[in-house]
Amino acid sequence: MTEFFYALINPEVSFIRYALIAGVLSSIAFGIIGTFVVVKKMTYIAGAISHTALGGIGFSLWITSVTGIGFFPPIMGALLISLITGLIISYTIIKGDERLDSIIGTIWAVGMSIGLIFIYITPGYGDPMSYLFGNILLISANDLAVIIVLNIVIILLSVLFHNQFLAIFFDEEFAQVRGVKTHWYQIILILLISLTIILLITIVGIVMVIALLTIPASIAGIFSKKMKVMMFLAVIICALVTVTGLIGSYLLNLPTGSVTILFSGILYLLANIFKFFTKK
Amino acid sequence: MVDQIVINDLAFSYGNQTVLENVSLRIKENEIVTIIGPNGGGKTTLLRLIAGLLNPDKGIILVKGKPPKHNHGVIGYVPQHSHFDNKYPITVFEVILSGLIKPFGFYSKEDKITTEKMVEYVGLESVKNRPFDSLSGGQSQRMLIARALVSDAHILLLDEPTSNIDSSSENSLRNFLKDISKKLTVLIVTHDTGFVSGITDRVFCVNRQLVEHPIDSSFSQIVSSSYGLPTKMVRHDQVISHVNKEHSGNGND
Repeated sequence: MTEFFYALINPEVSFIRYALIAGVLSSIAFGIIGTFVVVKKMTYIAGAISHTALGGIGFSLWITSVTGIGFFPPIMGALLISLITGLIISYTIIKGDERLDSIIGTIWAVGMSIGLIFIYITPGYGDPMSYLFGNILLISANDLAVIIVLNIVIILLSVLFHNQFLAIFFDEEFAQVRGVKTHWYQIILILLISLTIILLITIVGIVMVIALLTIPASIAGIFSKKMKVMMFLAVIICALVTVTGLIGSYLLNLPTGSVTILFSGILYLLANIFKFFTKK
Repeated sequence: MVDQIVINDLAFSYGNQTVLENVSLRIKENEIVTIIGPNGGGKTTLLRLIAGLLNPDKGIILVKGKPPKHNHGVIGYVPQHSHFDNKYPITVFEVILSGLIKPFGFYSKEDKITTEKMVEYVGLESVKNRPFDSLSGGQSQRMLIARALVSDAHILLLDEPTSNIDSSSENSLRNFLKDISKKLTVLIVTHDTGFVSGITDRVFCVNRQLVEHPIDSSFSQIVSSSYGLPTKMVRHDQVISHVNKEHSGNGND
């Protein structure tokens, strides 16, 4: 354990510090948005958005390699495609005359396929593993700046619209009778989920995003039936698992994303066992 | 008295399926009006049209002289209880406060004070910080009515208010509605004719079209025999002939 703390203050391995800061800061957004995803049962939508991000990442790698331009990093490609996917899903929900699960399944698979094709045709690049499974240790100072900005946007919008979200997701029809344009809030939430997923991809990767977005909030839901408390607990739990995941992976020399998700899963199991034995 | 709800020659369809046609209705201030009818007959659709959740294909709906979508504050809507997710993390106080939701922004201090008063009015002070799903059926119905009324609504629309409550709660809800009808107009959509008998001023039956039904001793019986049938077998003419018979018997016509 002490070697991890030495690494934290060692100026030559700044990536450990960046990883820790990124994990803790992102936990705020994950806890807040993850709570909405869990209470609105939107895990499948979050899964589709995260997997289509590979399309944007692949395109960014290819265009950067072919043209030599440097202003379109993979995180921006992922952000762009995730926002587009979020808008398509929002439109499908609002229009309501297509089967949402079919649209989500199609977007999910097509987005991934596009990403894999671009990665395949990118000269000298053939390994999508770090994007699929994440590598928090590759976070640079620039990535950290993007994470901080996205985090601030997510927190501000979530606080600003908290009352509307709470009322609309409890009873959308009642909010409509009160004159609230509920569709706009549906769109805002899906775009916030898209932004949060971009933060998560850097840390745990595309495949495991759903787990870190939903497990901390689900654990929090076992201990609280108030939205604000649930969000607060989800933030704490998320920070706890990302920090312990980072320490565990450093000490055991294992992939950070996998160790983080494993810790989350164990915590979820323990919380459910606790719930089982304490249920009246 | 002033008409609170005016419906004139209303028609509504879901795709090719006509749900309501030639529906006209006027409801006055402080009236309790009940709409009954078979499943699929258009009761809830009519309520949702009055609430502004659906747009009519034809005809006019005015709530206090304006289309429902331009008169948000005056309509208090109480949906069926089955429509909620019991795991949703919200307290009783937050549910009632959400009756004052605005398109943007935060709740004011006055909003919270008004909600406190409403919580007290419906007798839920002791449970206001509990999760909403911990309430009994009767308490839950009072919570939803409080949410509908907290914005100083003038018209209360209730969809199947007895679907989730026991008989003792039914009595208390009946008395509560009777009491609040002195201050506002109440429109109830229900299957439960027993619940509304004694408090309702008028009863209408809807099965595509709307027919007013007399309130007499055979009210529950004729309604259950006519409207306990599948939608296609329900015939308004049976009810109409009953209405005419009653009227001629009473020498009203």
